[in-house]
Amino acid sequence: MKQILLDVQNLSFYLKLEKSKVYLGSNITFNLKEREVFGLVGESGCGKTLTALSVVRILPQNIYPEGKIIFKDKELLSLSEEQIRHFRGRHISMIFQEPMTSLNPVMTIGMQIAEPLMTHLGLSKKDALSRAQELLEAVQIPSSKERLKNYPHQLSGGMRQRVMIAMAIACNPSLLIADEPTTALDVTIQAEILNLLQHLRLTNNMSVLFITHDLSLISEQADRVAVMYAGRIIELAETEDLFNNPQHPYTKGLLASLPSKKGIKLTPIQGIVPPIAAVPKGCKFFDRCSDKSKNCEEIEPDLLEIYNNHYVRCMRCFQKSY
Amino acid sequence: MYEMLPEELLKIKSLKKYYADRSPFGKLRGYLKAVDDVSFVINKDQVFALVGESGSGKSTIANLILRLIEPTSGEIYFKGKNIFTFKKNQLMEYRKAVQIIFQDPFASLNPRMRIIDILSEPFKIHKIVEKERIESKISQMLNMVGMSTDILNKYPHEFSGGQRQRICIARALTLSPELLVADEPLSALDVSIQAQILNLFQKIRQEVQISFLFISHDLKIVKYFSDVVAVMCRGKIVEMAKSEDIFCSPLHPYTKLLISSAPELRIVREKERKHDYIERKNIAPDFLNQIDLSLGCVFRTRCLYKVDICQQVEPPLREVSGRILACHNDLFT
Repeated sequence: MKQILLDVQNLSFYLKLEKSKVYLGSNITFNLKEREVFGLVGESGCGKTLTALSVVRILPQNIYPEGKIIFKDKELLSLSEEQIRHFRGRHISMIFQEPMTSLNPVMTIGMQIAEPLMTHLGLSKKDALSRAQELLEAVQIPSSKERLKNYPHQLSGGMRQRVMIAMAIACNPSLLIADEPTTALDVTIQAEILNLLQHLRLTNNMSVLFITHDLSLISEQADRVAVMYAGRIIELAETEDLFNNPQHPYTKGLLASLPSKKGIKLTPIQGIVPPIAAVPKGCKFFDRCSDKSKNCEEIEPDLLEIYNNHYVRCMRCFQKSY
Repeated sequence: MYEMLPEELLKIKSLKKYYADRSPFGKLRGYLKAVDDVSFVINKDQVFALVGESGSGKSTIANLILRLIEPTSGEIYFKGKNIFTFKKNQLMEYRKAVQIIFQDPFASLNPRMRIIDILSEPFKIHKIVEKERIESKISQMLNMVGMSTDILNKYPHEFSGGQRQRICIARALTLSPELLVADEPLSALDVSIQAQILNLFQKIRQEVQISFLFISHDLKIVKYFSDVVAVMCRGKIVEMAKSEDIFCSPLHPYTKLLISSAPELRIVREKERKHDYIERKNIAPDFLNQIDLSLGCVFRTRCLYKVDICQQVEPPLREVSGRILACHNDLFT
């Protein structure tokens, strides 16, 4: 059995206002095994990115996490700022959606890749730069030696994302968080970047936490998937199982929203994601659900195992299975 | 059984839009060919889709059709008349018949106007309905896009992305246009909302006679919604055919690449992923520099099926089994 690398237990995060707390996500529980690709999917605003930011502890100001995030026996949320810095970029690294805004525009890409090597591994500048060149080759950037002296604006979107990946894998981290890594790219470039990521994952023995809104993409890339809605995980299962036997009405609705064959009418989910202030008290999906019962309005269901390793947060699913 | 002959609505003939690339001192270095010798026809009641990567010239064509920019050369005929020769009055009429929906519903509604002002503006400009009847017309439009009339006094910021896109659609439909140019109308929306808007488009097609120029990079949506697809690569159409033909049996290497790159809902096991990687590795990863590729095929730097002639001679568009194709390689014919 594969060992558990990252264990997120009852993670919540809230926005701190002057007199109150507004919870943007709660009861998020999942784990990531070694060498696994774990997918987080959901529509915009469901809390996927905040979950990832909690793991590396770079949440925006005024948003605070609660709960436990255990990474290789260390509880990340209780570490001091100084201690967590030792993990970021060394053991856990992250790539973001927009490669232009996440690279430093006034620093050569060679120096940007060399930086984590010098800070974390204590390499000299010369060694770090030659290692940076190797990394550029690993992410298949041609004429890597000349590219080291380039600035981000001299590269195309796909190339920048490759540079981001090179930076992220520089110190051989065991966990890579990829937050919508290909959303800003064309499909052809997307396919290349995803191939590269999978290849690097296999050769470097990394686990990947893959965040996206694209269901098709996650079905191709991940081993297990968690679907999020309104700050909760509402369904979690192995990829094949999730897409073949979706249980939660929201997951079913998402899949029915995808255009398949021409002429077949789509059955979208009714309504829209409610604003934070208007989220239902019981099940968060209550107002849009097509299969609700009276109890759903009052009591929020837990994420429970319905059969082997398939977890659902829905009362109706359990009522039916008995 | 007899077939109705399709009626031409919009005809584009060798349309070109070049942008000059100048050095900081004004010396001409070359041209960026945003749209290069593009011709196609949109029939009445048809959904014509343009697909291609960013920078392939899709939106430039949309802007040219709306006459928001002037072409370098070439003609566009709307119902047989060249739109670039239109005088002011004719242009007003034309703009009534051709409407656009933009990608970003947050940027295409004036934040300081109430919904009622936004929706009644087209009527006021074109003066086609008496003042008293504007309100009933508007409620009819809102009804069509699935919204109620109590939103009329609200401002755009009070709505979500999907609702705003509905308002944009209502605004585009107010003048009963014959051609709706939809430039990536779904890309800014979440999946469940995308499906709602797609259903709305289908409903509109059933209720009124309208043609679409549908621009999208999402092949799943194009496959679902369009009748004819033109694939663009660096300003040129490289393949054009019925939607079924393009997706079932793509001929051009670029079309093949696009379709195979698009993720699909399927389960990929670990071994296959590795295999995929090896197969795709030999594709040249980048072409940033758009300028100066006057000779040869536009796709040759990334093509897996290139032959010697591709370096020197640009492949002409030719008809191959009922579709239009620009490729030298005879493998595909």
